[in-house]
Amino acid sequence: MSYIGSIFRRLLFFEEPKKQEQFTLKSPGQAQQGSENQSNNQPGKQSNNQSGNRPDGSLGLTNAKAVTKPNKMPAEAKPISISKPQKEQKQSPKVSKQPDEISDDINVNLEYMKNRFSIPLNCDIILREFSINYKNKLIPAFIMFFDGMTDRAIINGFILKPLMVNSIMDVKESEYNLQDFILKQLLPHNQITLESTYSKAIDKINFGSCALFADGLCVSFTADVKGWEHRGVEKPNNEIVIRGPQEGFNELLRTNTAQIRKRVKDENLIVDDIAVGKVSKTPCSMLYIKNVANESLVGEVRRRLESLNVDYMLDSGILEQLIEDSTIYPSPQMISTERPDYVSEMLVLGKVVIIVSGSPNVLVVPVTAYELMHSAEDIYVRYPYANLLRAVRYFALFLALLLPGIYIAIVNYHHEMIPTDLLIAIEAAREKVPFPSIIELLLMEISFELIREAGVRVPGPIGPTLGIIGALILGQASVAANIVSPILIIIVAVAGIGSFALPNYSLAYSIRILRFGFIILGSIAGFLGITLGLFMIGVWSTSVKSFGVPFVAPYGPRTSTKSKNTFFRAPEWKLEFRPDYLDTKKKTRQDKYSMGWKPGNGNNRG
Amino acid sequence: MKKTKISPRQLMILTSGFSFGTVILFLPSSITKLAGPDAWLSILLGTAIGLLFIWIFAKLGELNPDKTFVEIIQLYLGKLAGGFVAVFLILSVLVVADQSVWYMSDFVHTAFAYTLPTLPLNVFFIAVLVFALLCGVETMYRTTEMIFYFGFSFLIILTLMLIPKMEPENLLPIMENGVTPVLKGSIPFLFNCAWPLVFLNMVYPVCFENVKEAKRALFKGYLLGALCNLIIVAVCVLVMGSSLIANLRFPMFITSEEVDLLVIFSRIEAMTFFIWVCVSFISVFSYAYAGVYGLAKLLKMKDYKILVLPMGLLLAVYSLNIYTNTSYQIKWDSTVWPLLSFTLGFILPILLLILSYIRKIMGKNSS
Repeated sequence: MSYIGSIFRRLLFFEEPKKQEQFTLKSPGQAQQGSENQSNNQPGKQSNNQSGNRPDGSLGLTNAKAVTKPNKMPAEAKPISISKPQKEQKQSPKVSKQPDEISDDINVNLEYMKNRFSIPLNCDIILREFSINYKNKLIPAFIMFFDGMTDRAIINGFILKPLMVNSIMDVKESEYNLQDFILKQLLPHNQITLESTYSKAIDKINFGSCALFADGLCVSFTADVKGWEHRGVEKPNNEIVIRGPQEGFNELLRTNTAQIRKRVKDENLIVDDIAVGKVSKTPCSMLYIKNVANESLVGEVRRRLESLNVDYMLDSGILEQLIEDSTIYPSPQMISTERPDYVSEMLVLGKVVIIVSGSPNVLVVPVTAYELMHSAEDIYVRYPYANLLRAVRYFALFLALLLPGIYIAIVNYHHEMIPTDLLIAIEAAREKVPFPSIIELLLMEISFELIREAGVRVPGPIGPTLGIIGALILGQASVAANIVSPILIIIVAVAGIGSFALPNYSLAYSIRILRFGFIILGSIAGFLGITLGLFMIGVWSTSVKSFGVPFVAPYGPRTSTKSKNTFFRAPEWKLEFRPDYLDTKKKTRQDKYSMGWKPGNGNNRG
Repeated sequence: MKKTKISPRQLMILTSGFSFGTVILFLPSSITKLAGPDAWLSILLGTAIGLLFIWIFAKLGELNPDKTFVEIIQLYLGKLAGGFVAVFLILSVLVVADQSVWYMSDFVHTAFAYTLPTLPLNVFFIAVLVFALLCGVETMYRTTEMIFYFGFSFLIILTLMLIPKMEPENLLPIMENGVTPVLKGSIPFLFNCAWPLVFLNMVYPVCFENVKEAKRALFKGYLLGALCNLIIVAVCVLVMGSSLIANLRFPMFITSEEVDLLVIFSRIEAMTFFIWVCVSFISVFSYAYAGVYGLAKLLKMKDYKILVLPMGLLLAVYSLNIYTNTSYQIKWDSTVWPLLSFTLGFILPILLLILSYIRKIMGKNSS
């Protein structure tokens, strides 16, 4: 209730949400500094500074960095207080050093790790004890990893085998101490990091790493050996295009970032990992092109991601709801897509992309109202076709949003608006219907929504049955039984098809909600109601911002019209400017005359 | 109070929308009643005279770039007298805003056989107004920018579609009875379109960084609004003839019913209605904003938004009996409103301007 109250208060008295003010006042640099204090609670933040420690690395893209930055390690050995483990630390009596620091006594470590992972109780954690031969001494050690999340062949061949077998070999340069000996001579794996705290090592284990503890060392070696089962790169299920790439995102973070990187092919593309979720520490990647994207936008996205105080972050759908500007505004305020090519296009424009590990839906911010009507295909098909498609889509939007409302307004109040013959046809069809037209319309709309929802939930084999029920029983029989008029069925069907033609599925949801609003407005107050409803949506839309960008940006407020991909799009060679509401560092994205071969275009003029 | 910012372009569109917003529905008839077929000349003349007043309003704003109209009144007329004048101004503005609501429901009941009673309709309209006021002046002006595209393009399309129905003879004879009817006809234009623009001094020039640009925008917007008025009046007279227009209550609406082009383009009065409600909303909002914001300034409140809801309730109740009936409305609009508009848009700004110059000279002498 207090939440509704706060929304109401915000609507009534317009208490400025504090975060927005901060966004305008704070420069991104300050925002980063301010969050540095908090970052101790979020180990993921530190992994930004130290790129070798990235929490995810299933494809091993960052392998080189792990070795090249060992000098950062001592800095990390400072005591780091983490609230959660501290409590548990008090329960274990053997700890002599700082609470979270890894002890050099292997028994203490073993006891602690067993305690943390509830070893006898937890069945999928594997603890393997063995010993390493170092200068003719047997040093006890153990490794820990989760079964099923890790690749067994790698653990066997590149971690256990060298440690147990190769350590017997005589090493000539024996000035290496034990730590360097293991790191530089024994472990041939490509992503090894040193952790000096339990909590970090545990985080790594939780996300598919294998941790090695050895006696006499107050560090733990963690090797990234993720090897869980996952979906491959498949066709996007829900965003199908005829022209263009057919690859979609899957649930792996690094596969997704690689899909984008292989398209953009720009070293300035920054993949910035931020852990979200106090417990789950889900890696989320924030992608932007360094010399294009606006810094304050990047800073704002980072600030919002870092400020989240949730325990678990499971999907980008949850993240979207946590970082969006307006909760009750119906339309989505960011694009959620599963197409890497579309995301790359947005990145090139200067937007920021957020990928959540484990979610095939990738978020793109900020977004404006007209961009929700763009499809990924628009830039691939030729200029005339693309604009035809756009026009069809706007018409679909109009039909989906207003057609039932206009129908009810005309039938109830504005008989003179339609040709007399049509009016007679409508009235003749309605003659035997016992209900008022609003009941009739709501009945059909609700049954249509039912079919729609049932169509998603229905198990595959009985899917066709639903069509039969929907088409035959609801359509034919209800007309035959004089419950609804046939014209009304046409209205509802056209409005339904209209909402399916919208390229953004979240937008279609909002249109469905608003359609009911317009039906009610039309039945209460005719065209006046519809007009006022539209007006109110207009005012509402202009008041909403998506990450600091006004939602109907190039038209209200009117800014420059240099970006020619708004309602309709210009030919590809005319799309020289990035959208100016993004305030990108580079204003243009291609030269003035990008077609060098055309003599009239004057290649040297550009 | 947080400083709101409006772009000059928004002011331009607002000014034009404000000057032809509510009045497009009945302005043609009130002008043609006086000027006959020369109504378009009256508008041209009225525009030229009106420029003088726009200059006065702009100058008034320019002299006090950080003060709203209510503050300027208090500055020059003193706390007490200025306060009285400001209260008078605020009350008049709110009454005018409420009258627009009344027009709307009256129009709906006259033009379409609505079964809905007046109060719910008015409440509905005022609910949207309250929402817009709560969203703030910046949001509303952005919306205005968007409405403008619809409104202006619709006006042009309507004009184009009515071309086959136009009869140039309807404009003839030009100045049959001399200049007097033309002069008379320009008066309704002045008190409907030019003088009320003084209420824009509630946003101008406080909300602007560059007063010069804003001033230019004010003039541009005024001329654009006058152009729209000219088009509407000319189209009405060309299509229907001046004697018919003079006796119609909603000439613009009736004229748009005449559209009958290529079978599909017919009966577009719903579009007219849509555009009229949207555009008249611009002027209703401007009046209501001037009233509420002025009241907040007068009471030295930090934020005007707390006044919006109570004012909305008052407006909703008052809108029912602001005019007792249509004949009363016509009488009020033709006798009281010109004088009210004259007082607020003519006497008051000139008085303030003279006072400001006197003060300037006195200030120079004393120093």
